[in-house]
Amino acid sequence: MFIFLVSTIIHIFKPPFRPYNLLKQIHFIGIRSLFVIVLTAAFAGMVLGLQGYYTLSRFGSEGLLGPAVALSIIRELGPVLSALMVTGRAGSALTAELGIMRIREQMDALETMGIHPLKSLLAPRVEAGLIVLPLLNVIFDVIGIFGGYLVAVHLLGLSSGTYFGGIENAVEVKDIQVGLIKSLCFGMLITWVCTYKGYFTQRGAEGVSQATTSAVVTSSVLVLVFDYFITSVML
Amino acid sequence: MPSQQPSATDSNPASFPYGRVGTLLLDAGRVTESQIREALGETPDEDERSLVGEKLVQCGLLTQPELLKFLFDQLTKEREAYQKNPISEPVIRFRGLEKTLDGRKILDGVDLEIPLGKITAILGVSGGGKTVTLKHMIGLMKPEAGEVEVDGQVLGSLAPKELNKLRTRFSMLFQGGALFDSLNVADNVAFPLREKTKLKEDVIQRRVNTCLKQVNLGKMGFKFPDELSGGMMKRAALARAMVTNPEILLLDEPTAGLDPIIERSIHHLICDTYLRFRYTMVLISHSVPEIFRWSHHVVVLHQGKVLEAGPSIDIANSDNPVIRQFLTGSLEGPIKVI
Ligand SMILES: Nc1ncnc2c1ncn2[C@@H]1O[C@H](COP(=O)(O)OP(=O)(O)OP(=O)(O)O)[C@@H](O)[C@H]1O
Ligand SMILES: [Mg+2]
Repeated sequence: MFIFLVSTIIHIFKPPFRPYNLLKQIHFIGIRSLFVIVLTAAFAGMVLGLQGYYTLSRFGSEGLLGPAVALSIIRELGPVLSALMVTGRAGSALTAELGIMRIREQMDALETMGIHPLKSLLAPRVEAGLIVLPLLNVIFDVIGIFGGYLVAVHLLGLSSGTYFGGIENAVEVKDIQVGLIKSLCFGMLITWVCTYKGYFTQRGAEGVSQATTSAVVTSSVLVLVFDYFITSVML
Repeated sequence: MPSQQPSATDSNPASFPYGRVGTLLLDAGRVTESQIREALGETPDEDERSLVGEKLVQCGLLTQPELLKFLFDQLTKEREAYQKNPISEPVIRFRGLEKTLDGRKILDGVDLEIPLGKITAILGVSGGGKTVTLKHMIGLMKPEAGEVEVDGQVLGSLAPKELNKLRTRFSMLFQGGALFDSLNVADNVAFPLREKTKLKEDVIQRRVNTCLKQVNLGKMGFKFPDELSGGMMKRAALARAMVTNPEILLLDEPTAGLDPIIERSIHHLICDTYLRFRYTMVLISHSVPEIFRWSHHVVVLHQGKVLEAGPSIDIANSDNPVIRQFLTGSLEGPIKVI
């Protein structure tokens, strides 16, 4: 499975380059996931605002709500939730698409034309994952923090100066870096697992459904596992 | 070499100023040189020369049925010549090929030779390993024992790059069509040209249109594979296999699931294409005994081995009980179905 990843990455850097293929994948993985990401981000931020206010007010430190929301989103929830959403929306579709191409012999057809499926099908998808997830993560962060703001300021009556001022003081460049590195890793992880499962699909429609399920489960679990390890290394 | 097939194996199309078919028609005295010149125009390019028959029909110098009959008779003559003198160097050769799939031995020591520049038909019972055999020829499957040789090169020993290069000389029609779902028919046919050649877009379009017309799908280019009937899908896939002008054409059941008229027209198309380009063709077919009239060489696979191989006329007259049963479609005989 690791060899598979390495050879896909090698193929990313081999000519001929087809920007159109890459753009199509960015559109599919990125743009079409945007709506889900915005929705989850908004509600995640709002819930954090609500829950955080409730907890912090017990200790009389409502002023820390901004940093609490921002840090948890930027360091944890942003990368993880956007990765999970992309897995559910794009990863599963990606596995199913490749799986169907496999069982209908379309992959074989490519090979007989002297075109390597790794190059023409898998490389652009992995590449798109690497580009798209950090971007989605940033969008998630912004929307999430704004969601927290809505709840904290407009619902719970915190002043917007307290909320944003606290964030400005508490969030460091390093926090943002951690978030971005995480989402980069997750981008690779998701597309790697999902393309791998799709590429090696076997046995008809049942095989495709098995591959899809296992791709989603495996990448979701791996995202959380890797999240733990990256956090512990970069704390 | 008999005079009615002037340098049939000559691979240089430039040595046929009127196209191969034009030369055949001339030699047979069906048309005159000036008629051909009239039909072809001043400076025909290679594509146009290969379509000389169609051009003559368009100019009214020949009718379509006359042309088809002429080509079919030509193939028959060549088949008879091949029967008398079946010497042709093999381009693909299997040596003791063995393959087990799912614990079942599908190929059990297959030795076969595909003659260069001839039409070879592979026959055998359903599930007998014909598709598996074809996939070995192009390296999609790897044998457990034995070797596949193409033009003297052993497939198993080639580096991926060399294998890819070799594959560009092939073209394959898959049993299920294997059209790309995300592309419409015209783009499917254009795909190998766009990916593997540096042709200009208008040249590609022209060639795609010609190919689609030949398989009777002239107005279907915009359709997507899931909007086609099984037979249309097959014909679109056939167009995709032919569009690249390969040297070796592997066709897995090009006529299965087609009505008898279309089946006949596909046979004519194969014959026509063969005489125009002299590809080596390997086709799997269940249309027995029809297929014997359309191929030079026949290979019969049975129980993982080559039962008999040779000129189609000889095989059609073989008294092997298995082949007889296959030819007559009788339920009684060595092949047990129930
Ligand atoms: N990828 C595969 N994995 C496992 N078994 C396979 C595979 N491909 C083919 N087989 C088995 O190999 C046997 C031969 O299959 P093959 O497709 O070559 O038959 P065939 O001669 O082409 O039959 P048909 O005329 O019905 O197309 C079948 O029993 C099939 O179950
Ligand atoms: Mg078959």
